[in-house]
Amino acid sequence: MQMDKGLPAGGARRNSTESLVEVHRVSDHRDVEASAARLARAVIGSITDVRLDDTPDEMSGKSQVDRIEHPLRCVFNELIENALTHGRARGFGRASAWIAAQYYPRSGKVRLAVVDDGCGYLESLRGHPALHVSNHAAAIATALEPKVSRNRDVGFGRDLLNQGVGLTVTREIALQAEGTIALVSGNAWLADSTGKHRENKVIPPWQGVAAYLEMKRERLQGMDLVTIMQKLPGYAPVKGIRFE
Amino acid sequence: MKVQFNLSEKSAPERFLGARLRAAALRDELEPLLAENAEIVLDFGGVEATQSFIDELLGVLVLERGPEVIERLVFHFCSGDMKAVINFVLSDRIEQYKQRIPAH
Repeated sequence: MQMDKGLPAGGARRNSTESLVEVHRVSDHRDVEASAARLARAVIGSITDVRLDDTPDEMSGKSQVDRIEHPLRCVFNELIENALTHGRARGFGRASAWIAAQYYPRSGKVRLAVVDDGCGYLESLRGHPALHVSNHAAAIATALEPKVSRNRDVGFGRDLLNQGVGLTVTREIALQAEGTIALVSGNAWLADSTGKHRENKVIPPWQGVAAYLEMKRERLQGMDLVTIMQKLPGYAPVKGIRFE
Repeated sequence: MKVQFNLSEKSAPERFLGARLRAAALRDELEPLLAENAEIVLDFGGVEATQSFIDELLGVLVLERGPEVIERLVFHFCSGDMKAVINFVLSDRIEQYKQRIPAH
């Protein structure tokens, strides 16, 4: 973030829309959905060639806004919910999430970040049979695997569960949008980008998890969530299901 | 008897259902309807929901009541995305339910 140094001579304010970003704190589970929806709408509102009152097309029933907004809301929702669920385990019950997002018109990219001060992936997965090496880099890679965190860190409601695929789906959305997902936890940084090998590096430690996503807006609006769901382990046609 | 459960009304104004906490509250509304009615019509018209939401709303029902509960649900006006999400959640939780219950 950068601080504006005041009005220049003549009173014209510099356009800082690509260098300033609003940061919100979320600390209550009841605010997850509204925060996700608000942030997604704020990103779309900054895309000047998308009309918020765009009419849905007859084939899909979706407008251009709907097609960009839905994957963004899913990503925000999953990342914030993860921060307030897994992040609050192991004695970190007061952890919060800080969220920010911005659209960059010159590159056509949406960038977003969700950062928490919770227990981090290594602590969250400590003792888990899927975590073969006890270090932060291994913990991040394990957290990205589907179903590893299934029904882990539950118990703050009557029986709120966890299917363990939210982070996997988020990664797939970023990659399908020709983008990047980068995760920081402890002293490890790991990034997956479309068409590239996984990158790892050791960084100064951060207590908690930071997730950063970069996605091409053009690809977001053509997002194929059906294929993403069908690729998840456990997907199968359900006998007797009635869609009408 | 058949009764309607209108998710588009419950998701207003955003038409988005994402959080597990909200899904758990809606499941608390759904369960008495299941006790009193043979079939529930879940109306998803104009609504999008996350996999987490659907899991908390419907996946938990499968884990608690078994896959038979699906035969009592009718899904109306689901988008292609919603159908895929519902299919994944239900198939995954059916598999988990079967693993918990030993075959006779």
